[in-house]
Amino acid sequence: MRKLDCHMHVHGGRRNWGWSDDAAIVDAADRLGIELLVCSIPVTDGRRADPEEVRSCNEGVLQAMGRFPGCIQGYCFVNPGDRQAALDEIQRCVVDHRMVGVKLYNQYKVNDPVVYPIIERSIELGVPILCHAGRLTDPADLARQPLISDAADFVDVCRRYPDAMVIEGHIAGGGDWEWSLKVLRNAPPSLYLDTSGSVMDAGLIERCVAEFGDERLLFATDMTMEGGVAKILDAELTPLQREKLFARNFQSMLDRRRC
Amino acid sequence: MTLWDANTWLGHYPFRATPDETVDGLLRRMDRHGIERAGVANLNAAFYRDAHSANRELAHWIAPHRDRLIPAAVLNPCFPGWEQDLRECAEAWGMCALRLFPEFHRYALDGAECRGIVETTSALGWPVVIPIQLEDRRQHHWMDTTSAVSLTQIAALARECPAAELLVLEALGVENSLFVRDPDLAEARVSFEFSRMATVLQATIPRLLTALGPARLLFGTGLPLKTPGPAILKLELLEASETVKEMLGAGNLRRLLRM
Repeated sequence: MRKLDCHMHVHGGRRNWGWSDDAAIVDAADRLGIELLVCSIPVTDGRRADPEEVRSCNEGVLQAMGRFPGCIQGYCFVNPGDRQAALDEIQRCVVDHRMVGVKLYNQYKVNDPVVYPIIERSIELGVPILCHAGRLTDPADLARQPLISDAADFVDVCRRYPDAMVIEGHIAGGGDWEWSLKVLRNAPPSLYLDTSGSVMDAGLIERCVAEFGDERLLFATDMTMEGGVAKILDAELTPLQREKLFARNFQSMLDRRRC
Repeated sequence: MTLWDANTWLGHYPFRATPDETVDGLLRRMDRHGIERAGVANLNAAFYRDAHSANRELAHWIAPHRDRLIPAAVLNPCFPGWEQDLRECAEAWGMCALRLFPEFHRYALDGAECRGIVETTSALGWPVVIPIQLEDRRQHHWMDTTSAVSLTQIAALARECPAAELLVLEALGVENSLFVRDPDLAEARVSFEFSRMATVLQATIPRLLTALGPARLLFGTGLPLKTPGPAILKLELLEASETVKEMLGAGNLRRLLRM
C-alpha cells in the first residue's frame, strides 16, 4: 500500500532535529514503506522569522529535495507578516522550484487577516498549506506559543476560503485532540487534518474517522516514524479507509496543482 | 518472537474514555498483537486515596487469567499501613512487582518514605516500576496537575537504593540522561521500557543498546491507554540478533520478575 507522508522535516537553516544526517530519513522511509516525505523547515519556538532566515530554511529544503529527488518534496515556509517577501518566496520555491505547498508555523494564527494573501495565492496555485496546530492545555506550553492555531481557528479561516486546501497539523501532537475533533465536526471541505504526532492514544485514529471523516484525513509522521505508520495499521479501519489515509487523500490534493 | 509486555493497565482512566479497559478487552488486544503475557497494574490506584483498594480489585479481576496477566501492586509510601498491604499483595495475591505514582501520590522519589518502600520491596525480590507519565502533558485534563517523573529523580533513587531493580515505563530521553553520561550509573540496576523511543531515524533504541547493553531495554505497549503496534514495529525493525530481540521482547522482563 502506498504511503505519502504529508508532514515531515529535514535539517537546514539553523535547525537540526536530532538525527545525524537526512539520509537517515530516507532510510527510515524505505524501511517503513513510505514513498514520499513532504518536508519543511519552519522557524519554531514562537520566534518571528525574518526574510533572510526564512530563505535559509527553504534553501535547506531545496537542498534535501535535490539530494533525494523522488523521495523528498518540500513545503515553502513563510512568515505572513512579511507579505511581499512571503509571496516572493512562494514564487521562488513553489512555482520556480516545484515545492508542493506552503508551510505556516505559529508566527500568526491561521485565521489572522495577515495570512489571507498567502491563502489566496495558494488557491491560485492549487497547492496545500500545512499549518502547525494545537489545543494546548498546559499554560506553560501556551505561553511559549501564544499564537498557535487551534481547530476553531482553522474552521474559521476555511469557512472564509472554501476553495483552499488547509491542513491542520498533527492531531496526535497538538494537545487536547478530543476538543479538536469536536470542533472539526462538519468542518468546511477546505480543511484537512494530518495524523502525525507522538501521541499513541488508543482509539485516536478511529475517533478522527468518526468525527472528521475519512476523505480529508492524511497520514503523516512529523518525525514519529514507526508510530506514524503503526497507528494507522493498528486502527480499526477498512482497507479502503487505510488506503485513503496513507496516500489517496493526499494524492488528490497534489493533483489539484495548477502551476 | 515472544512478547511479554511490561506496561499494561486495567481499571478506569478518569480523563479519557479508553477502549478495552476490561480484562477481556486487554486479553483481546494482546491476542490480536501476539502478546503472550503482560505485567499489569490497576490505574485506579493512582486516584484512590487508599491505593491498596485497587490491588484488591486487580487480584479479583485477573484471578482466572494468571497464566497471561502478571499483577503488580501499587502502593503509596506516604499512606499508613503500606507494609502490611505489601505483605498481603505478596502472600495473598501472588503479586510480584510494585508500581509507584510519585506525582499522583505527591511524594519525592528520593525522599525517605519512598526509599523505605523501595528497600522493603527489593527485599522481596520484586522490581520497582515507575511510569514516567500516563498521558502526554500537552493534552492534560484540567484536573491532572502532574508532571512527568524526571530521569534525574530516578537516578537519585538508583543511587540511594543500589540493590533495587528499577524499571522505568514510558521512558524518554534516556540517551541524554545521567544513565548514559554518568559513569557511576553505568552499572545501575535500572531498565527502560522503550515504547516512546525509536528504532529508525532518531535511532534511540540502537544507541541505547550500545550504551547500556541489551539487558536494560524492555518491550512494553501502554495498553489499553495506547495502541500497541508502534512498540511492536520498533522491535521488528531493530537490526539486532534474534537473541537480543528475544531479551528485549520477553527475556528481560522474565528475568526481572524471576519467572
